[in-house]
Amino acid sequence: MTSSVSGPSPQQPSEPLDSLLARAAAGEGDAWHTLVNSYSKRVFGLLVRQCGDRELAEEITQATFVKVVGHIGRYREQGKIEPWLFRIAMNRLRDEMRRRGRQARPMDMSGARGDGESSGDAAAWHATQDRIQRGGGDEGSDSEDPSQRADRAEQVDRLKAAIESMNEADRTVLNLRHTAGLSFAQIAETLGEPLGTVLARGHRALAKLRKLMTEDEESTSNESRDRQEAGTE
Amino acid sequence: MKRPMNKPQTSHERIESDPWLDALLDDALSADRITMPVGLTGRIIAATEHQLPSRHGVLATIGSYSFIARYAATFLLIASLGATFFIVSNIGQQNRENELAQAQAAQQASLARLQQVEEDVMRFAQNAPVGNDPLLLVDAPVDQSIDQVKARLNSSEITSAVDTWDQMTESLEIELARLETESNG
Repeated sequence: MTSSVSGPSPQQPSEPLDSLLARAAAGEGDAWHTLVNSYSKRVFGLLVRQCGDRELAEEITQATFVKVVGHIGRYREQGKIEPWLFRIAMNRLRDEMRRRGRQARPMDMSGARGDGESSGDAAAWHATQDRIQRGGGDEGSDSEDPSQRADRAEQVDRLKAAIESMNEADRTVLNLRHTAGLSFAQIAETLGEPLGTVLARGHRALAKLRKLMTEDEESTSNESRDRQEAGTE
Repeated sequence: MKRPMNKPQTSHERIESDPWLDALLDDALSADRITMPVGLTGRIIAATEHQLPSRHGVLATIGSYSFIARYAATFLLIASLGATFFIVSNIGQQNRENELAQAQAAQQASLARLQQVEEDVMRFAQNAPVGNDPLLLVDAPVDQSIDQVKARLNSSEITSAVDTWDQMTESLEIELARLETESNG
């Protein structure tokens, strides 16, 4: 099974990006509003996932757009606004982390609202997992088996724990791909690294996640079988 | 939630992956799962909008139109420069004319005063008790007339008066000569 280098489809404006950028560079406020609306959530989301600090992420999101607007009149590289934008955000975050003398830490994905995810997301998460397990369809009904739901909740918890246990470089690639919605080529440009390196890191990260989740699943099923055997005896 | 699928490829390179895990990660890490701070987008726009490049800058406006607009702007610039030069030249010419008129007026005033002095001298001579000898002052120059009058007078008072007229005449003649020189220059 393969996946293309291009990334997941993020929220994209209906107008082509280059056109929006050109209009914003010409001083058209509505084009700039569209750009900010299209990217602020992804920039903020990426920063929250990277540092786990909502206030810092908000501050850096604003600083990122201030820097972008300051250079928008001179921006000439067509088709590269996303790597440019996220590179500014990542560099800012790295500088700020260095200034504050601490390492980036992953967002605690336990679902607490204060850590970035809304409290209502847990239900959405479970519903999504249900749809995925049913075959990826979007027509999932609410009539689901409580035991299935419990299984999926366990699966989600394992995934969260696996992501948290990964190193920062692997997590950064995952966040850039799945939160910022960048392709591997764009991630390579954002990080200033060769595409091959980023592809290898992405592959390694996915393999590690798959292994962590499989091991966890096996140990869980073993435990439950042991419990069942102990019960029959 | 948006399901990321079928985005056009940007490269032929592919990475081996598990679609189930990939989809799980898309949902787990999606930016949609992060609650945006209230009003963040508005604050960003408020902080950045005024920094957008000006849409109505004069140079930008001229640059975005055809070359005709630029020619028109150049013509207007040259015309305004010509008009300014013309106005400045006119003011200089007018000043020179005013100065000349003032000099001529001063000259005429001096001549009038000289004439008055001559008339005074003649009137004095006619009324002065200088005997019966007639004075031929009408056609003579004023200095000769004064000399004649002085020669016939003994009174120191009258001499002093005539001397005053003499001095006044001299100064007026000097003044006239100066004015004439200036107006010629």
